[in-house]
Amino acid sequence: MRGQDEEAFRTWVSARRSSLRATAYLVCGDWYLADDLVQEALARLFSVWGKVAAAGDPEAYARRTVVNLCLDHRRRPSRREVPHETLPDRAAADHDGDGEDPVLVRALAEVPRGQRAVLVLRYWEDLSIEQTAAALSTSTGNVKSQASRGLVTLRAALARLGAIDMPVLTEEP
Amino acid sequence: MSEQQLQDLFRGTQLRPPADRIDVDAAVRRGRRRRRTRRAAALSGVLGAMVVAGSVGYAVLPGVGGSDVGTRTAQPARSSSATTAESTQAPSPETLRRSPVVVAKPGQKVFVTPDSYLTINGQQYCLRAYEVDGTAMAVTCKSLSDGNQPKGTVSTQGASAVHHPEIFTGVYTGTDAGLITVTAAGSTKVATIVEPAGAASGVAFFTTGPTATTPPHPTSGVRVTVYDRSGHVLVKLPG
Repeated sequence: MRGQDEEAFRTWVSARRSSLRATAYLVCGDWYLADDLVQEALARLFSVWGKVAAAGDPEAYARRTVVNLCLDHRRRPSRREVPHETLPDRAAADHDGDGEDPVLVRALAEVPRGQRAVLVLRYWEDLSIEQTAAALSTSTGNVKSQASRGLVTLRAALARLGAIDMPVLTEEP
Repeated sequence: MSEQQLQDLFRGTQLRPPADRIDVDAAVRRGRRRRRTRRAAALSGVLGAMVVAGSVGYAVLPGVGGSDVGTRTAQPARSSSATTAESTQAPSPETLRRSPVVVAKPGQKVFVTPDSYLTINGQQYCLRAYEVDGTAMAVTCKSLSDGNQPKGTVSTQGASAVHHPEIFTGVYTGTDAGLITVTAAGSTKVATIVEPAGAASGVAFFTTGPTATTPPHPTSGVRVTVYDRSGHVLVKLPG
């Protein structure tokens, strides 16, 4: 039974790891950190795999865990983003070095993390407002307000990066 | 930019991820450790509660403990006004002599089941139970001291009837309870009393087993009787 569970878990991971990595990266903004957090989320998922698989939606559990780990990680004082007037020297870029991040990623980086998580879940994962609220353990009203504020920030960032002219973004009620 | 354009922007964005560094084997090993740790913690909590409850019970056995300090044992007296129906359902004095008592410090977890536990302090008690998918904890709290529940009365709070129909908890706003029984589904159980360390204005109690007769109302069809330490009925619910 245990072997079957582990096999099912590994099969599920092989199918969903790329999606989880992308979600983690968009929320936390760092591929290496995203990999670490996804691995931790997978460990937590495996520890309750029997229950979660029986409930029928391991992806929701994994997604929720990944996003919460990203948000929690940034809450810890020693791990907070430190603003620099000039960028420090870096040995290598976070990505594979074949160019800079897509404009959407750079714009998302300017959105506060809570709002960023809402935008990623709503527009990258295509979750409904209710599903987003469940993933973040918050209310639908909070999701709407966070999305609305996040869109304003994202719009300004996209405009500053030259991706759009004068966008008008509103969250549907 | 419209909503649709925004969604198109998200969908059209191509990420360039570096090589995948996720070690699934390590995740599985760590997951196993987490599971073992969680189970061990739950088991130790249950065993700890049993040890505490057992030691309290041992201390108050007549002729064994030799002291009435901390007595929580009561011989439920047969009330002359008890109805025949109640008499047939009521437990016998031999089988119902005492409620185990756990005196819990603030923050101490008193495990009800391996994935649910009570905490209690002078102000309130809370029951925390993992939802069936293990993703979150359902929390039920009840104040002991806000005055909403008069002194000397009993109230009941079931856990989530969907996920934990087997858990039944309640509050008695007094400190003189020696025995609390819960009758449901044709059987009577002795509840475990959970008392906050130090001065207390009330106690919590719990039982496990088939009590939910009509989910999602786990407390319906359940009768609670609180006896004092001399075996006299203090209060019944429903009255």
